[in-house]
Amino acid sequence: MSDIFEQYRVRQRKIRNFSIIAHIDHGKSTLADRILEITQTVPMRDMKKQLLDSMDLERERGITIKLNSVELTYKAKNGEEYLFHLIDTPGHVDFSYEVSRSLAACEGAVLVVDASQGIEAQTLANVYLAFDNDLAIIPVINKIDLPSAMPDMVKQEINDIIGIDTTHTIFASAKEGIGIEDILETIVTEIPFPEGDPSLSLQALIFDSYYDTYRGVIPLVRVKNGIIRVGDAIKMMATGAVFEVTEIGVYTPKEEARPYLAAGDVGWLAATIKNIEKVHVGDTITIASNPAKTPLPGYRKLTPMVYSGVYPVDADDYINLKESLEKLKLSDASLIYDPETSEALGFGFRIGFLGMLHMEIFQERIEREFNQNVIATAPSVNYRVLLTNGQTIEIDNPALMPPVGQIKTIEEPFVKATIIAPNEYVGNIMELCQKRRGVFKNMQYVSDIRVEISYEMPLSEIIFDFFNRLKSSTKGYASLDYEPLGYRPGKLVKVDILLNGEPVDALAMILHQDFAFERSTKVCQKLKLLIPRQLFEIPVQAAIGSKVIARTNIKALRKDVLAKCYGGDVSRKKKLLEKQKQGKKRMKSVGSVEIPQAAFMSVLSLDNE
Amino acid sequence: MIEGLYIHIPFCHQICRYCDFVKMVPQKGMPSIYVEHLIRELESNIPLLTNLKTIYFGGGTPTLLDQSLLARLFEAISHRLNLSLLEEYTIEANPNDITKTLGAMFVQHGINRVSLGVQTFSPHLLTFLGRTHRPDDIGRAIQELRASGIKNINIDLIYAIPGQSIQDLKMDLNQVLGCHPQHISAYNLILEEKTILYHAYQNQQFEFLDDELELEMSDLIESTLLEAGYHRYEISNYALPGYESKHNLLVWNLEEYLGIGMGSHSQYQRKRLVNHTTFSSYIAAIDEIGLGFAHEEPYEPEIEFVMLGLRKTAGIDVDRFETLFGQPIFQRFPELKHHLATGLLEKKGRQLQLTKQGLDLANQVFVTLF
Repeated sequence: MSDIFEQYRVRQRKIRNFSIIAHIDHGKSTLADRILEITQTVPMRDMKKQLLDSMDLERERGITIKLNSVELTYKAKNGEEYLFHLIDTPGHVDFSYEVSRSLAACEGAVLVVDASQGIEAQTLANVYLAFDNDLAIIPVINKIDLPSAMPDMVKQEINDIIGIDTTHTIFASAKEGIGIEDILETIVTEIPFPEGDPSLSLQALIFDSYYDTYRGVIPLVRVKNGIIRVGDAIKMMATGAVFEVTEIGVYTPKEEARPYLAAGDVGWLAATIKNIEKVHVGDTITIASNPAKTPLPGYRKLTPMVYSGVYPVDADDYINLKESLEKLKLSDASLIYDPETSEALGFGFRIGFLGMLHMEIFQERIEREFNQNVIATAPSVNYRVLLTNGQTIEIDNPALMPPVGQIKTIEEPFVKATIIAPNEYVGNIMELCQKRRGVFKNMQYVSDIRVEISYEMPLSEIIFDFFNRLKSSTKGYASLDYEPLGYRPGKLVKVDILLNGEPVDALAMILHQDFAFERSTKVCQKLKLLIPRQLFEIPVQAAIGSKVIARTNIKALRKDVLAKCYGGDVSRKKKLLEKQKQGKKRMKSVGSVEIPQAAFMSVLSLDNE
Repeated sequence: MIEGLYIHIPFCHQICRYCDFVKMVPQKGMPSIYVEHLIRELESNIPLLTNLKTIYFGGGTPTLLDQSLLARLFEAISHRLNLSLLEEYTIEANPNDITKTLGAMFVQHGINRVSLGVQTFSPHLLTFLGRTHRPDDIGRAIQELRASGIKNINIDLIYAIPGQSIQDLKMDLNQVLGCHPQHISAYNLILEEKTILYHAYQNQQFEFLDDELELEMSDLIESTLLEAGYHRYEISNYALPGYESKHNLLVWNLEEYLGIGMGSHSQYQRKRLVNHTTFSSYIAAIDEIGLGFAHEEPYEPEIEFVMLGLRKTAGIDVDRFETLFGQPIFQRFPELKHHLATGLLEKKGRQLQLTKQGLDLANQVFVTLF
């Protein structure tokens, strides 16, 4: 029986929604480029390398951090034309929440594994997220053109470690264009068309959004049931806000307007949404006059792992920073922030991040895209503090730790860290983990020469430059993933840093008792190097309560003068002085001491550990 | 009104490792082409040069030009310009270029001041700096200049050279005082970008002196020279009374001067102008328009008045600032007041001056102007 929805249903059966999941550098972006090229979605002359990664930062770092969805048409060998939606996902451990959002908009995933590198810790983490979303998985072993490629061995790894059917595994080289047609054909045959009914009430999942200066918030949606059209009055089910749809469209990857999006479709919409608080990623959009009974099942709740204080260098920029954060949150739903104040730094925000990379990317974006000159404090985890009065409080800013006398116990978050590396580095890895208070849990071979090692460790040790250390002690071969294990008590103390006798709250740290002396000494030494000499001598001290455990001095500046300034030197000397002035401006005056931005992060990279 | 003329001779036998001036080792024929173009540039500017009080030949190494070329230049100047008001006529010279006949020629053309690039008397430090002269050249050069009738001699010294000891510096000072110059410029070695030394430093071939030692050296220089009757009238300059460099004082007093030659700078009619810095572009510009002008740089009289004026130990007259710029100095630059409190500045009557400590930390004051 045919009804008015039949045309949508026919179309729906030709839709394939999929993501590409891969470890960083395994070739995801190159594969995406090839797919766009071969389906001629993008004319060859418009091809920019790694087209999907639209932000400069992404292209520079080779990491995809913002989601994108592209619609493309593929004429299969069976003569039928299919509508593909390729939804890009980030490839780094910090962004598992973003991966989960985009996976929830798909029915299948192309799993890309490097033919020489094999499965990495993050490959596993992302595959498990795909399993959680019941996605069909197409294994692709990439970079088979390289001399070091061992595709059969990697295929065996996928079979043994992930335990999925590897019958349809495709050997490919995205760079050389090998195997791309096979991948597209397999997408048609192995990934199911989207379920969902165009005749039901609208349920559209917001899986990303960004801010357009002229049109307001642009949500990216996956329609699960129903149809959304221009002119519809839509309602955000979680926030209750109602808007009128002014524009609907897809990316090809250029923006292209469409009259509707029906069940199974992926696209964008504009509805003059000026209040960014009304659009929550993970929310369900429905029709105001005919709302769905229930919202779509929720996403994995996002929990920040690390916290950092972010302050404008110039106090007058506080409002600008606040507005920038609001805008940035639109394209980074995982960003969580609250206002906080610091005696040293003034008014700012405590920001929660998914991990260290997330924090770095945030800092670069806030400076580059939003032109904000900020100071960030060293990251901290969230501590659970049981007070002697029986109360439990949460502390994500070391400066706010209560005095020792009021504390019964401090608990800190632990994680299970999974490291995959060639077996020759096992000794180094274990040594590093042991130094970081790690408790050995398990070791297993993933292939003849590669092992997976797991440790239980305090998260604070992971954020303390752990990944860089791990890379350098394994010549870059190790990969890392971690998942939370909950809170455990530890012998933790708050260490204050005093400059010129005054504690600087933004430099306070929580350290394990056994490491407090050693790390405090290194922080003092590092500050001595980073803080420029000033007109007076500055004592640098680390103290637990009133007990000083480490100290050094920054000698007074004695000589700072341009020896020569004759007729030909005036302009050049002016430029030098201006540069010196700019350097001063980027510093924060705390009391009478001028502190450069880098000093607040000094705790993070202590050399010669 | 332009009272100073600067003439740049960019040629050197060998490039000193620390030098960042516009300079080159000339190929055959270049010096005579250059001199002809200098004269053309001078001719184009004659209407501006009616009130000259000072002329200064700098480099590079002016004495690299052979005597006939020098004579051509000197004659062009004395024939074409009105020098009736001229008080000071300086040429920079390399000690090993000085001969009796050269000295006589200087005097013959009205030159009354010679500035010798001595730098140090220690052979190992001269080698480090990449200087070509030997310590004995210096005494001989000074004798010959005096014998020729040059009564006003400056010696340039560099200190805080990597490898230099306090003992080395004491020896330099003894030697300098033994030469009885009227003027002494003493500079701590500054690492400038785009120098051979900078490159060597980047490759960690040497380390700078500890700044405590550097400070000890500048104190030693000051006390030794003061005792010998010199007075410190600028951060790096000492003179017997009446022998302060009139040409350089024009710069520090924000008076007008004109520069000709490659890479020379001018300041007049509220502008800072810079000439072309390469040989070919300079020559082409002169051929085309008769001027070496390449670009203009910002002229910021209020900032420059303070930044240049405070280099002099006499400092600046705050009333004069207000007369010139119509605003009290502490209103225009409130942070200067802060440095009266830090002890880097002091006020004596109408004069605002750097203190003894302020002379060593002058940049800390100057940055507040920007």
